[in-house]
Amino acid sequence: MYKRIIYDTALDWVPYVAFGVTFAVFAIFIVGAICMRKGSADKLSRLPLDD
Amino acid sequence: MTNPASKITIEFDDRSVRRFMIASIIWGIVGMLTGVFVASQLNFHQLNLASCLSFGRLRPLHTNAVIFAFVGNMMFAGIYYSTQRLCKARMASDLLSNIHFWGWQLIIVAAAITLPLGLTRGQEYAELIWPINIAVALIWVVFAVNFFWTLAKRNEPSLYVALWFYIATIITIAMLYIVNHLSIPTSWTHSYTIFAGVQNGLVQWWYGHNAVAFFLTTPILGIMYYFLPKAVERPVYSYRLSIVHFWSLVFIYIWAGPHHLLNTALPKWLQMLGTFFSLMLWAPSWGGMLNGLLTLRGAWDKLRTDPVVKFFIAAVTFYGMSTFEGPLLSIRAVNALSHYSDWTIGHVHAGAMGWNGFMAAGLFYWLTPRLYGTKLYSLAWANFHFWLGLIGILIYVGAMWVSGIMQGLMLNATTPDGTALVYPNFIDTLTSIRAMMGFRIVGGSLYLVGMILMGVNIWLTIRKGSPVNETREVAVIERNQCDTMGMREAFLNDPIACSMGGLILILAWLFLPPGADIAALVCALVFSFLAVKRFQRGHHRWSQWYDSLLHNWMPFTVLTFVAVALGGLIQIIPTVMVNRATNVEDRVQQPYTPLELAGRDIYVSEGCYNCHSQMIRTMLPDVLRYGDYSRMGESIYDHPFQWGSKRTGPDLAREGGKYPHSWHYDHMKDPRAISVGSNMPSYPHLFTDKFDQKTLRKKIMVMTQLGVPYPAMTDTEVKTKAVEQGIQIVKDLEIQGRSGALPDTQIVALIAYLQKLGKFDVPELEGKLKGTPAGIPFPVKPSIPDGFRSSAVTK
Repeated sequence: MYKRIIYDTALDWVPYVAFGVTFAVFAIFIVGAICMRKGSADKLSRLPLDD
Repeated sequence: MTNPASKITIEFDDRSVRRFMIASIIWGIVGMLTGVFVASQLNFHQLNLASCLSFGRLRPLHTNAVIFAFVGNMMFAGIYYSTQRLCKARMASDLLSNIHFWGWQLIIVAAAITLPLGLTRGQEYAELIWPINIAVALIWVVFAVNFFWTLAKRNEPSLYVALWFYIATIITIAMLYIVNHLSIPTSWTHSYTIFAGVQNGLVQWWYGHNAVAFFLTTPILGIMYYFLPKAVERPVYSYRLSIVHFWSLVFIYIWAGPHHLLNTALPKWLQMLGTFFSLMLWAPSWGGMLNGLLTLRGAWDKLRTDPVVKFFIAAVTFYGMSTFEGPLLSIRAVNALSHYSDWTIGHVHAGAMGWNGFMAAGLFYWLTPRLYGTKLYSLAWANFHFWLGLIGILIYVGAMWVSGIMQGLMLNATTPDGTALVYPNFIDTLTSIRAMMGFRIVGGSLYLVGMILMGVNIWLTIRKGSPVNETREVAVIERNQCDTMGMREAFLNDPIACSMGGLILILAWLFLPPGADIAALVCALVFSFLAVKRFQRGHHRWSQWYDSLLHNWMPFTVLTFVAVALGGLIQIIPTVMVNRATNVEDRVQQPYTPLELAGRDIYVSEGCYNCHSQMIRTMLPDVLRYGDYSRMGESIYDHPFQWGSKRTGPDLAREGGKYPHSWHYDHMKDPRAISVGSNMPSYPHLFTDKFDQKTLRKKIMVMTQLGVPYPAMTDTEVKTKAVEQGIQIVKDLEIQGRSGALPDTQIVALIAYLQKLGKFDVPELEGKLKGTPAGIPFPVKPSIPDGFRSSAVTK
């Protein structure tokens, strides 16, 4: 297996996995951001101005 | 709920903010002055006034000063100021703040002394010697304890997005710095990194790239998210976008390091990962930039009148441009042109001067009146600084684009039949960019003048006012309002279980043998379906878990660490495990003799890697110019690797045996006597200084410990071998008409090293494959998997 790691180009699957993982990260946090309550988002965004 | 009776008045620790700000300005001017000086040395070799003032030694001083001294102190000023306000609490410990400030300044002074003395680890942005590395780690821990302690005693339950970026900065830099600086000392001032060759390259650029990401970007984004809304007096454009920005940036950035090693001996799948994740970085980076720019909605008029807003908005724009250019340069075809050229230098400076420098200026102009209870001494000077800086950056970056593209095109130009170079003489390409290197000095000088103007303006403001520590009445929150999430609640829940389960099944699909991998894939699909069903049933629990995270710094920090550690582990562990001679098929580097090792240490100490690479890429023009492309096994014993990142001079990977000893002897004495038009410094001290014999045996022992196959040798044997080889080189020099050289001088050791470059042994199997078919100009590695290679040979 080790030599495969060095020498295999693995170009046929690496991009798909990379894209899949990134897409999943984006999707999870977009869902998280959308699910966030508006009141909570507004309150948080005003924290720096809360002097 | 908050009890109104439990209000207290707190005094913020603004003294630390003032100190870090002043230190940043002073070190910034020093670092940029050094930058202008080293830029001038490239055009005027006479400015290499002494060994301690040569380009190879001063360039690391410039980069370290700007990154760690200028931006580091600026970052600490911004973090100390905003964290206290966002937590509604004074920094947890004045003692820790003091240790942090003075410790960091001592580290900078130590760097300023050791680097010109040639005491270096020989890796970019990681040059500082091991005792200073330990000091950096300790002071960073002091900073981390002070920061997290402040979070723990905060009087605001929610963690604002700026604090997330600070958390990511602190834990990621700690991880990167410690791993990349793992070394075994050979003396108080010297050590060998535990990584070699390709693994060293991968770890170094995992660190180097993410030093840009987590030292020069994430903390500054935190500062942007706090200070930009303050400056324009309106909340950030979209808090939701900031959530997506943070997590996607933190997760993706860590994977992109291999884009610094495209077309090299790095395994192709890692190169592909580097390119892919770099391209995907466009999305979060531009999301963040747009969030910053659109924060100005309805207040664009301030851009005309307020220099603080001018600096901030220009900085965010430069952030957008740099993060556009970075992925562009990570495309292999573009990188084939841009890498090792001034284009990369231009890219880095657009980020450092435009993004970091302008954010620093905006921050300091905003902070100073508040920290000293007065008005800025001169708004007009601040505006003038802005235009000087902007014009300076544009001249600098434009010149570097032209220079980089011109030299890249010339170096890569081949005749129409592809069998010869159009510009075979490297010096021709250097001569053609001299004018652009001159413009760089002009651009850098303008920027430096702007910085000095800011320093004077702020100094006069300080003299006009007096230090003010802001006091504020805050409501003390009850401890059960935040940080109540236990580890069980934080990690044993649906979102974590589904993510981890999915990840394990995907990894099983990738790495299990045929048959089992299909089963794992089917399981992954079924698992995903079940996870979606579970989310539909209880999505409120998922979002509640996420909301809770924003009130609990500990689980948030752990999750951030997992996100940043994942990319590094997947890339680094296989490469570290496999980079052993037994796993390398075609070529294995010959270990250095004691004298060659001593010569290599001189090469590292003089900072030759700042201008010379040792990596012939898998590209026709590189092969035509420098010889057969570099294999992974050819640097397997190089602690540290010296692949380099810039070719101000030619590649040296196959320098060994190319020229006689006398050529190197004359070249080091006066490069222009050999290469007319060369901008390389002369090295007269190499002809009189002795190479280090005292620690040579210890160095060999450490190398052996690291896996280099040296036979057991006594101290006397090591010294004898070194001197004997030195005597032989001196004899050869005398035969070639160069008398007077001494066998124990540095020049002799350096010649021994240079003559060894590119020497390798061929394992038995590859010996059979060595005879290449007629018509192929250089050996081509067969692109067939290992399992089939032996049968191919038999046939």
